[in-house]
Amino acid sequence: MQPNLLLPFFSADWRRVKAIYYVLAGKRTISNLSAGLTYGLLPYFRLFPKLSQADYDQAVQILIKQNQLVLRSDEGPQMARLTTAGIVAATQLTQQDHWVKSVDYWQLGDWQTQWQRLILSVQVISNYRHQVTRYLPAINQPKGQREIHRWFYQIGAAQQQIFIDELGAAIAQQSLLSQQILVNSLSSESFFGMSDFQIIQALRLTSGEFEFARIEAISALVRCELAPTAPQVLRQLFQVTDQRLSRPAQRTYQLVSQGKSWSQICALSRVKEGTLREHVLEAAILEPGFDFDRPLLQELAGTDPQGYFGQRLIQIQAMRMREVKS
Amino acid sequence: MTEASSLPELVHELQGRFNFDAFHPGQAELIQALLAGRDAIGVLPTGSGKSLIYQFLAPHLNGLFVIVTPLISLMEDQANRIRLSKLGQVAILNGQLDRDEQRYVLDHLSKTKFLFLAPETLQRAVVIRRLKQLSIGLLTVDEAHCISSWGPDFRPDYLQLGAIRHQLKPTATLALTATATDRVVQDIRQSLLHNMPTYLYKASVDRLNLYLRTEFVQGREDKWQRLELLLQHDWPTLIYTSTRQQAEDLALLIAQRTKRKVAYYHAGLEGTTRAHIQQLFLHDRLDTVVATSAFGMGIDKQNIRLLIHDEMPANFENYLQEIGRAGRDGQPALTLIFVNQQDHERLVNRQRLHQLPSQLIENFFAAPLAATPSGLIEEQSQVLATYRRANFDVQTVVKLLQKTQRVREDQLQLFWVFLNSTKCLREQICQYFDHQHSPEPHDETCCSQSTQLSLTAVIEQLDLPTTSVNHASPSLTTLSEAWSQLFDCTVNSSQKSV
Repeated sequence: MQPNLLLPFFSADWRRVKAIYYVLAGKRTISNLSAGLTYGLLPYFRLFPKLSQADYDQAVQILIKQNQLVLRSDEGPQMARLTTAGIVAATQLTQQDHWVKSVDYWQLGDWQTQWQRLILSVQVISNYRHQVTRYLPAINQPKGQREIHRWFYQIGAAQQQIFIDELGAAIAQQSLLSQQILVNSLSSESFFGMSDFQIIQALRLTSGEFEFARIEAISALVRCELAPTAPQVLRQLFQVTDQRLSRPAQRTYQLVSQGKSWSQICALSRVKEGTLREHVLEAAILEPGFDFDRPLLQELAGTDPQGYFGQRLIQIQAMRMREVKS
Repeated sequence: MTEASSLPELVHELQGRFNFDAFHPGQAELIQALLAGRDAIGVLPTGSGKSLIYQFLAPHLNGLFVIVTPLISLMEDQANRIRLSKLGQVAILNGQLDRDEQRYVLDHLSKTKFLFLAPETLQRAVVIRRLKQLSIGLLTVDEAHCISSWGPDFRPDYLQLGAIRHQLKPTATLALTATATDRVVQDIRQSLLHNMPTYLYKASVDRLNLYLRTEFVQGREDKWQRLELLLQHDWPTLIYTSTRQQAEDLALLIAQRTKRKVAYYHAGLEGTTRAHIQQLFLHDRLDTVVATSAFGMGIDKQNIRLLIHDEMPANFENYLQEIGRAGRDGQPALTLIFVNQQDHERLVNRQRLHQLPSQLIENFFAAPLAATPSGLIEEQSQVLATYRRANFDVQTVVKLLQKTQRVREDQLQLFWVFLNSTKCLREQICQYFDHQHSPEPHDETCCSQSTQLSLTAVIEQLDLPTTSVNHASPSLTTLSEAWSQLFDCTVNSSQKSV
C-alpha cells in the first residue's frame, strides 16, 4: 500500500485507525459501518478487500514518521488525525485525476465484480465476432462466468452491436486517463491490450496510483451506465442488486417494515434479541428510506435510552441527517 | 469400470479424443494400472501431462472424479482446460465461493464428472456427507508430496485425506506429484493408501533439453550485468524472485534499462491481471515475466528458452519444479541460477524468522477459537489453525513443527552444497530424487558453473532459438484502434476517442 494514498481517508478530526482499515477491507459490523457513516467513508467500503492489516499498519507508521499523521496514545482504540502537512497532501491528492471520486460500493456494487464483468463481456463478444470458440476466459470466478454466460444469451446476437456502440460511447465520455486504462486493459484473441505494468509505465503512474485510477475508471463508467437514462444493454451488464443489507438483516428489516411488533419479530426470527437490534441498526445505517420515526424504534430505544441501541440509533440518525443536508 | 485396454487401443483413443500422437512416459502405464483396478502413485516431471491421466479415464470409470489440489489457481486452470476440451461437467468447490454458490455446486454434483476442491474443503462435514451419497469413480490427489512431513511443502490438511478416502470408498485412487524422493513416496503410500498394494510409476527427473548453470555473483550490480547480457537475446524469459517486492523492482529495472517487454507476476495481483499477463506471455506479446513461485502451476507456456533464478530457492524440490517451466516444447533451454552468499544468508534468516517457538504454539492452542494470540503473524496463525482444524494436539504440533523446521534447514543446506559443488549438476539432481535411474553422461549440453566456463561461451555454445519480438516500446492503443481490432468496427464519429 502506497502510504500517502491513505491520507484522504483520515481528517483533521480524530478517527479510529482500525475502523478505517475495516471499512476499506470491507468488514461488515455495526461498529465499522457506523464509523464509515460518521467519517463519510461508507462509499469506500470494500475498496481494498485484499489489503492486509500488516500492510495498512506499516503505511500508517510511515505517515506518522513523515509527520502527516499523528496518533493519540491514550487508552481506548487507537485514533489518528492529519497534521497540517497531511491535510495539504490529502487535499492535493484528491484533486489528482487518479483519485477515486466516483466509487460507491452501495450504489455501484463491488468495483472488482464490475471490472470482471467488463473484461469478460468484451472478451466474449469480441471472440464471438471473430468466430473464436476455444479460449481461456479472462476471469476464473465461476459465478462471474455464469453471469456473463447468462447475459450473453439474454442479449442475443441482435443486440451485440448495440453493446459495442453503447460501450464505445460510454468509454468515450470518460476522462482521458480513464479511457486509456479501460481501453488498454481489454483483451481478446484479436486484441491483446497491455499488461498493467506496461500501462503504468506508459502513463507514468506508480502502481498504487494506477490501482486508484483503475477503480475510478470502472466506477465512473458504471455510474454512467446505471443512470436511469442509460442504454439498456450496458445497464443489464452492470446491474446492482438493490439489497444493501446482509440477508438476516434484510429479513428483520422486512418484518419491521411490515409493521410487526417486536415480540412478533422475535418469535418469527429465532435469533437473539441483541442480534435483531443489530439488524435494525444496520438498516438504519444503510437503507436510504429508513424511517427513524417509526413507533417500534421509539419503543425499542425508550426501553433503555442510555443503552447501546438507543444511543447508537440517535447517533446514526444525526449522521444521516447531516449527510442529507450536505 | 471398463475392461483394461491394450496400449494400441489406448493410443488410438488418445489420438481420437485428445489429438495427440503418443503418450508421455508414465501416462499409459498409470492409466492401465487404474483401469485394472489398482491404486497408483505417479511421480512425473512438470509438463509431462499429469492431468491427462484423469481426463482420459473419464469415460472409463463410472462415478464422480474428485480431484484434490492445493492451489485455487491450479484448480481453476485445470477446470478451464476440461471445459475447453468439453470432457464433461466440471465444478470447483473452494473458500472463494459464497455459500449460495457452494450449495449450488453440492446440489448439482450428480450431473458433475470432475469436482476440484482444496484439501480443507474436502474435510468439511457437509461435503463428505454429500460425496458419500454418490459413487466416486476416481479420487485424485494432486501435489501429493504435500502429504509428507519430509517434503518442503507439507500441509497438515493432506494428512486427513487417507481417512476421507476410507469414507468415500472411490473405485480407484491416484496420487500425483512432480517431485518426490523415495521417503516422500513412502509417506504417500502409508498416509493416503494405508500401505495397500499400489502401482508406482516414477519417471526420471532428468530433462535432457535443459542446460543447467550456476552463476556466482558478488552482489546486485554484478548480478545485473550478467542479467543484462542474457536479456540481450530474444528468448522468452521467466525470472523467479523470492518476494513480490523483488519481482516488482526487478521488472521496473528491466523496463527502464532494456528494451524487453516485461511484466511482473505474483499472487497479490488481481485474477484478471494475472490472466492477462499469462495471455500476453503465451502469445509472445511479453517476452519477459518476473515472477514469484505463484507463476507456473498449470501455465502452459511451451517456448520458455531462458529461466533465471534471481535468488536461490530453498530446496531441490522447488528448484526442479521451477526449472521445469523451461523448454516444455522439447527444444533446448538455458536455466541459470545466481549464487550469492548474501542471498543464502538471507534465506537462512528468513527460515529462522518463520520458526515458531513452542510457547507461542501453546498460547495459540490455549486461546479461544476466534482470538489470535500476540506474537504471531497472520501466516503463522493460519498454519496453526490448519493443525487445529485437523485435530492435532499441541504437543504433536510442537514436535511436527520442530521436525519440519529441521527438514527445511537440512534441505536448504543440501541445496547450498549442490550450488557450490563442482560436480555435474544434473547427476546430483538425479541422485537426490532418484536412485534407480542413472543420468545421461555429462557433455557440453548438460551443465556448467561460472567458475569453469564463461557465460558468453555458454550462450555461444547453446545457440538457443530466438522468438521474433517487436522491440518498439509498447504504446497505448486508442479507443478507435481497439474497437477496430476487437469488433472489426469503428467507434461512432460523434464519440471522442483517446
